[in-house]
Amino acid sequence: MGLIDFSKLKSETRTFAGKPVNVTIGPRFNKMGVPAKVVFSLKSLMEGMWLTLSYLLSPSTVVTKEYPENRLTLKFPERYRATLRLTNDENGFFKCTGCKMCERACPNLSIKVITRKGPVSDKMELDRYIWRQDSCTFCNSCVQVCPFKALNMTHDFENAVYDRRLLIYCLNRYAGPAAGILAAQDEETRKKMMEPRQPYGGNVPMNGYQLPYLKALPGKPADPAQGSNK
Amino acid sequence: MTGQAVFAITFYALSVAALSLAFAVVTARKLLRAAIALMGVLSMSAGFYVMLEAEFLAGIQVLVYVGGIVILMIFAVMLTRSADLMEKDPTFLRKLLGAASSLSFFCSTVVVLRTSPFLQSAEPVTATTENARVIGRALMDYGPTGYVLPFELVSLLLLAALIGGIVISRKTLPFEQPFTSGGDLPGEADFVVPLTQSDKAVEGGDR
Amino acid sequence: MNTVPLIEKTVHTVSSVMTTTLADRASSAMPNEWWWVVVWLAVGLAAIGALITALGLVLIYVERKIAGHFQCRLGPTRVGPFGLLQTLADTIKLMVKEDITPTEADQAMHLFAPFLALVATVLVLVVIPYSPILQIVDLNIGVLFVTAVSGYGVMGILIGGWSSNNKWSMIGAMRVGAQIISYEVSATLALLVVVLFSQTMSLAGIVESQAPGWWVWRAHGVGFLAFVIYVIAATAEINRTPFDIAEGESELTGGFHTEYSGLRFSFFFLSEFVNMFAVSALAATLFLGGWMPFHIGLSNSFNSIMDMIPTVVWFLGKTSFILFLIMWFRWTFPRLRVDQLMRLEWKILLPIGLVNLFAAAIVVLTRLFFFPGVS
Repeated sequence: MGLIDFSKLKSETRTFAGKPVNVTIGPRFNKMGVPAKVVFSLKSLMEGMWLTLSYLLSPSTVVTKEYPENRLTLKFPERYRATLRLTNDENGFFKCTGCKMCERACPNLSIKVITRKGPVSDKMELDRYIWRQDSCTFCNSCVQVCPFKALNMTHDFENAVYDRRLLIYCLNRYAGPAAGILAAQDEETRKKMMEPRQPYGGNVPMNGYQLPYLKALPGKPADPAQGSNK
Repeated sequence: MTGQAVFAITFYALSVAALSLAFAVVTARKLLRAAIALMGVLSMSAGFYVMLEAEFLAGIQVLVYVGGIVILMIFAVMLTRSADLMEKDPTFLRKLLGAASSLSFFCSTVVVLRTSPFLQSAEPVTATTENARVIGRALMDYGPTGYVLPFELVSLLLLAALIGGIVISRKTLPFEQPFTSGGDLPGEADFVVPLTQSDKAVEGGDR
Repeated sequence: MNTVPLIEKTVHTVSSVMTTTLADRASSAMPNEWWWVVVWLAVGLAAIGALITALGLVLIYVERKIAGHFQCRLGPTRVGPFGLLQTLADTIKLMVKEDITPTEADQAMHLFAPFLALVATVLVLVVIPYSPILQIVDLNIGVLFVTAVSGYGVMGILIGGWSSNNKWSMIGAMRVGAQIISYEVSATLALLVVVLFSQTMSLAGIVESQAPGWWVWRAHGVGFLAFVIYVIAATAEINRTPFDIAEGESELTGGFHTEYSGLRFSFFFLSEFVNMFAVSALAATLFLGGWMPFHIGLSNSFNSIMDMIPTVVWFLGKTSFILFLIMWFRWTFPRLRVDQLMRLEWKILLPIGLVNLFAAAIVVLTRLFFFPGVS
């Protein structure tokens, strides 16, 4: 039937169960005559069959990527979405201001933005940007809501790990100014400003395991600091 | 010689299978299992027809009973939710009555079979490969040897049953459902949208 | 009327090529050499077993490959060259998989159902004439037999669905039952048209009757209409899209075989594919002349060229054409709703089939075939 042509809509009052009801009448398949219906239906079926046959006959329509072999020449569709990344401005700073719009937009709480008062600048700034890839559905909402275009979905999809906790990333791996700015500081300030981060961070869901850079959460009962947090 | 032996072996195998399945029909505690055993019995009797060189009858037996009636029975059992029910163990009185009635039926059958003189047909029945053709001609023949009247009566009966089924299961008009859902009901409109309360207020019909 | 003797000659040569079927050999050996009966039975069983295995391996691969390309994919490519061994790998996987029976299921029935479903399809394979010398049994009630044994397939599915003790299985099984019973009517009406034309129900006889021309084009559209109805009804009978409401992954998870796993699931799966072959072979036999080569009445040289192609190739070619058609339907059309399905059968196909049968009777009575000399 296709799209509805709204210019052909008309309203009238009809009686249902003894009550007058205002109805809007759309274009109708049922009003066609039987021959027209048959022709219409057969035509649409034939169109579908012709389309699939054309796919079958022309191998150029195949979109499958045979991944491990063509790994080096892999071409992605432009809007392919894999790992989330924070983008930098021309000075090498993260564009992220810690406004938490993405955190609010995330449908399944995969993003946690932690802000702090900057040690040098004394302004609210991004502390850790924690992204849980294990629960992310790559819906792109965070990228779309970001007012500063600070987020980006990259094509980097080879993220398989043996431990689920390793899918919790700290996206701002190095929080601090660019090298040029750092070079202008004295030693003590530089040390204060440079703040390397592990790529992994945030609350670790599985108990009992520890990695060199990843502390296990305490088991039950939950630690009071978190419990009071509600 | 060997042919006769094979024939006899086949006959006894079929008989044993048919009898045990028939026993299963009456003893099965689950209704559906009884129906499935019944399917087995009917298939076995199709086997007997094949042995009597009445292939057409055998085919019809399987087509009508297995493909139709037993499936309908299973449908009925499934629809009435009695499929999961287990029959209770019958009481002693019921068992006694059942045994008495079945024994009397068995005795009377044996007596009738023993006493009735079976007529030998004048000419020996010859195996015909044109089984279906002969049956078809006999069914459609309106001469003295034909069966066209019973055939037509049966068709009439079936037609009446069909019409009855349609009448019983026919949908009544949707008095209580003013809004059609899709394009498939025989109404005129493909979709019918009720106007909201605010629309009515704008039109001023209510005041 | 120069053509008639020529066609009669053709028919004569074709029928002289006809040799006895396996069953005939067995029964002729019966009186004195009983061991030959055993030998022929074993040969028949082995042949059917080999056919089913080959069909399973080939059809599943072909279907996946074709489905892939219909949907802009590649299909299996990994196991073996061009993924040829994929089905074998899947078979091994299914064989070694755990075979689970639900605790609350009716154990015996759950075990029994897949075999019943497979047996029904095997019984159909037995009567199909693959070539003049390749047929297990030629029953004189061939068409009736084929329609009759399909009932066992329904029973297998119904029992499987019920004994699983799962609501999805149950709903799927009931849908299958309703669907197959309904569409069997139309399929049988279409088959009856051919029985009327060829005046025999033996499948070998039907093929022979098509020596002057295939029924699909010999009867002024009546045969073609019957062919179309049969293909639609047969697609419904084997529960394939657009008529696969029985499985309906989106609503019933797996339909009647939701609770089946391992080898017994593979039996259902195999029976589906063998069914597809059986239905296509039947359509090819009845409407497209089976193993009969394509002949044009007058041109003798053309006919002799066509005769050079082996009969098995003709049969397989026609069958695979219909197989391809059914696969094409599956990967193009959306699934029908239950009420649409029933409406298609009872309000559209059945009246057309009845009228078509009537027209066929008129054609037969007036002998209005193309090439009426032989019938």
